Amino acid sequence: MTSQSLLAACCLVLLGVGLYLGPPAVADRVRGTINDLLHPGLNLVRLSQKTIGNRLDGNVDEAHSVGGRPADNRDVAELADALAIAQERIRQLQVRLAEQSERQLPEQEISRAMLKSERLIVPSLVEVAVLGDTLADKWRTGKLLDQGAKNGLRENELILSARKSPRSLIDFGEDAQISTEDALLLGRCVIGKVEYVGRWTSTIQLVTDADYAGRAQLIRETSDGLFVFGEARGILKGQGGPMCKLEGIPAESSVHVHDAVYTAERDGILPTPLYYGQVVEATLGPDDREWTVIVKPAPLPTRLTKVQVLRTAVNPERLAVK
Amino acid sequence: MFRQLIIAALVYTSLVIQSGLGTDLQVLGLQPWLPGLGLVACALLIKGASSLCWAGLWGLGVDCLSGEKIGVNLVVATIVASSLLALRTDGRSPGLVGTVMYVLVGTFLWRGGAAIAHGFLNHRPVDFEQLLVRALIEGVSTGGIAVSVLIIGRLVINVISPSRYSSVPLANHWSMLTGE
Repeated sequence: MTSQSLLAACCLVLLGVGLYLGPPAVADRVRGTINDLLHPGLNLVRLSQKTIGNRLDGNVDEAHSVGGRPADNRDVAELADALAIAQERIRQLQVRLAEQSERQLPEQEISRAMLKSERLIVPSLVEVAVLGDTLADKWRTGKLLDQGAKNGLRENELILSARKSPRSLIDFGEDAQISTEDALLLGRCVIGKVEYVGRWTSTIQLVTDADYAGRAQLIRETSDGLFVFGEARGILKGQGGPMCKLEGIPAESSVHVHDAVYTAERDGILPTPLYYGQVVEATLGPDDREWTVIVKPAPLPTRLTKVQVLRTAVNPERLAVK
Repeated sequence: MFRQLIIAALVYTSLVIQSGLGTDLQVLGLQPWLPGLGLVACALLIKGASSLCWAGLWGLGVDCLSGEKIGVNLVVATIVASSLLALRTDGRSPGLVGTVMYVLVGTFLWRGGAAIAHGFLNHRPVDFEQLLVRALIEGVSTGGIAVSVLIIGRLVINVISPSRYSSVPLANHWSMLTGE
């Protein structure tokens, strides 16, 4: 490598580090410019993909048409097999679609369903922002607000003492009736829970964190297309890695890979169970009394900025003076 | 100049195809990583600092399309391109097997390096085995594309100009002797 190449490499590495550590506005401007440049090409690729896909579909339809020559030459058994495979594929897609729609149910719909309840304690959703690292650090060090406990303008010590903890902060606390153990949702998936509640902020714990634990149940789809709830219940525990472990499932329960894992709260406040993830590995040794179940939690976006907290509150309808 | 234009077209096309087709882009069920192919083409076709600049631009493009914070792919692509340039000391064409190996290693290092760097920088748990297997699969499938491109390219060249030996101007003798 020549000295000129070495110099160029160093400059590029410095440029990369600068863009990574520099102000987000600069990075956003660079990203915007490059995306604008690539936009026409991307449109062209997508258009071509669509056109080619449509033509191929057209050709397949033509080849499979009942009156057409290619269909006449086909063996009936072969066609029946192809039909069975297609039907199975459609069924799988329908199940996936139902699962996805269930998970992406808008929060307004959940809130509406909950408000209709006649129960005394009802759950309600509140959208909270996850504070970025810099902002959370400023908050914890008292750079944003610290007028001392005497003036009543100091955050809860539990929040502040987590100064070196990697736990994220959300911008709601006691003032918004957030409580410890309230579930943290993204869509309809449970992604964690509230750990400590401060006056204005709270720390959160993700399902993948090492000390996370929550009640869970397995839900399996039978061959008739029915869903079997609550046959196997256990405790979902975070492992500090990408996967979680479901403990306490007795050996006599039936567990399958791809079984869905949902919440299994005992107080019955939630109208429906909420999604945790999917079983990716289930093993039972000859002398084991419990299954070893590995669960893959619902995927998280790269940057978690907004989540919902499922808090419980007294039903205002019941408290209203009649 | 012609080579620079080819590389510019390659940068644009590979980024657009990789981003536009996403997971639909598959070779025998494996997902290739076209920018990796381009990076190696860049390191083999152009020498010196301009090769690194193109690699950096490639990395920046991938950064912008990835949705992650900008800079990591730029740095990793530059480092991988520098390593490939440093490996290629004799200036000779590496041949079919050599080129495929360059593509495999280049893609593997870029994808694996960027994923690990992102994991560490964002304090995300890194599943090394999964990451490295994915990077290796992408390296192999991109290597497969490189083989097809090289074979098709050679066939086209043979059809267009069947005579392998052409006259060389006198001024090129020195470069032929020294390789510079």
